[in-house]
Amino acid sequence: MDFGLTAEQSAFKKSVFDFAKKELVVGSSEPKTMRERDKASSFFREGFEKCAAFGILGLPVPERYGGLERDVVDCALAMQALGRGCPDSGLLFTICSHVLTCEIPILLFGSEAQKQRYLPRMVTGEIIGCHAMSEPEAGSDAFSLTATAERRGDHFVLNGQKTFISNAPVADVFLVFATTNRAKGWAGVTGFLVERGTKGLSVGKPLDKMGLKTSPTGEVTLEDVEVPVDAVLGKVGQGSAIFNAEMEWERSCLFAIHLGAMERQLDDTIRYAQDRKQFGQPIGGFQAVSHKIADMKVRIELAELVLLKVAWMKSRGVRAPLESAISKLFVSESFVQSSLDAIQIRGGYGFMSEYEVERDLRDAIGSRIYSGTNEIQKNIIASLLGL
Amino acid sequence: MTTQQILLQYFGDKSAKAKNLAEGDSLLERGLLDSMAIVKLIAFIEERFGVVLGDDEFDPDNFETVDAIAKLIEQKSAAAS
Ligand SMILES: Cc1cc2nc3c(=O)[nH]c(=O)nc-3n(C[C@H](O)[C@H](O)[C@H](O)COP(=O)(O)OP(=O)(O)OC[C@H]3O[C@@H](n4cnc5c(N)ncnc54)[C@H](O)[C@@H]3O)c2cc1C
Repeated sequence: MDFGLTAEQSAFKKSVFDFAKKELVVGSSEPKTMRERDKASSFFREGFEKCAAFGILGLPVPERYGGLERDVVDCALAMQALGRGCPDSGLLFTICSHVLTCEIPILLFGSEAQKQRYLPRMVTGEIIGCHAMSEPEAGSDAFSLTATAERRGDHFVLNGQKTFISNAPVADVFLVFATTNRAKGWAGVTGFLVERGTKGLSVGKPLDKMGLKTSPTGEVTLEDVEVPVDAVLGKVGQGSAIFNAEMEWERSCLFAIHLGAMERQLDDTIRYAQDRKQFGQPIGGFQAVSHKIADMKVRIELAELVLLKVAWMKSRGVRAPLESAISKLFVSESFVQSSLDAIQIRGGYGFMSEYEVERDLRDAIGSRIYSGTNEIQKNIIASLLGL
Repeated sequence: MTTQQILLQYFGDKSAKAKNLAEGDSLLERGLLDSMAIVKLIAFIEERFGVVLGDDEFDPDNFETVDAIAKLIEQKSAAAS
């Protein structure tokens, strides 16, 4: 057993962190600062493009499609480094949605023609991807979706409504899930690649959210959308397989950005506890404060272990449904609790937006909901334990 | 025990709905394979038969019946050996 990173992995992680610190904090055009972008719910397109130029958008994509061809562990390490160096969790969330919920399904299930058509342009950021599964009446029970795909000759006709779709307002390619046969339940769910501009596909205005404000989210409506048969991703009825495969990627790599954010919080909080004085001494000298910081560190250590274990398993081709559910649950709960602790340690300053500590809490809450709510993760864990 | 018998026993242990299940019966129609049950079944197959199923093999056609699952397992075992 070896818990260490190789020299190459450490150097790669550091290079991503240095890039994030230098390029992903302040933009060159309005709104420039993170606080301004958060207030304006503004997508940091410049940051997205810089990530494309650095190779982030093509991390897991083979070199022949323009990617860096890194394994899951390297992807998780890169996401962790981004989370630590870049305060714009919304930008990173958008990147993860693009890479993990659209590129990865195409990579794992796409035909060669689909890979050629989409991956090179997704890697360069020329086109943005999204993943449209959730519906107004089908959230946790995702496979009960009602969007339909009816085969008519050499094409399918899609109808339905999708909601809470990350990237939808800026997306060019939509991975849409619809059922070809409702009676078959999960076995009728099928993925389709639908391009912006296709007649009948429309996107609502961005939804206003509590956190991750710089990641645009929207509703997608499908009204008699005609797509050719070769828009099917994988095979008809393979939608649940696509969804499950991509969820394992998401539950390791996406949550690595939150792990990185927790590390950033810890660095800042230690500094604050050393500098801030009350009763004639640094507040870090009060056990009530230092123990919170110790708890933050413990959470990071354990979150990193479980998250990298999932990434390591996946990099060896081992399925990790149990471990990825545990990781998603633990990292997100840790992120919420550490965000609360970071605020509490700063007292009133933590509560004021100006000091940019409360934003992490707003961003963290969503992590208990997306990628399957934490209640659903517990159901999965219990179920895999035979209950 | 044959692969089919092992699978029939697996379903029998999991649910009363598997009573009198035959190798060619549709598992979906019998209500034996919902989206969670399939994740558990795959974990069982990988552990019990020592095969690793690729993401793209997680296909409803491969899990239609006990016979279909057995065929998949046997193909995987043959390819591995
Ligand atoms: C920031 C953000 C981004 C998102 N991005 C996307 C995206 O890109 N694409 C996409 O398709 N979806 C996306 N979603 C949607 C997300 O997947 C759903 O919100 C999530 O699956 C929960 O569904 P729901 O909101 O309908 O809640 P519901 O399913 O209605 O759940 C409500 C509550 O009931 C609980 N609950 C439900 N069923 C059970 C059960 N069986 N046992 C115990 N408790 C249960 C839930 O845990 C929750 O607490 C996003 C959501 C958020 C917040």
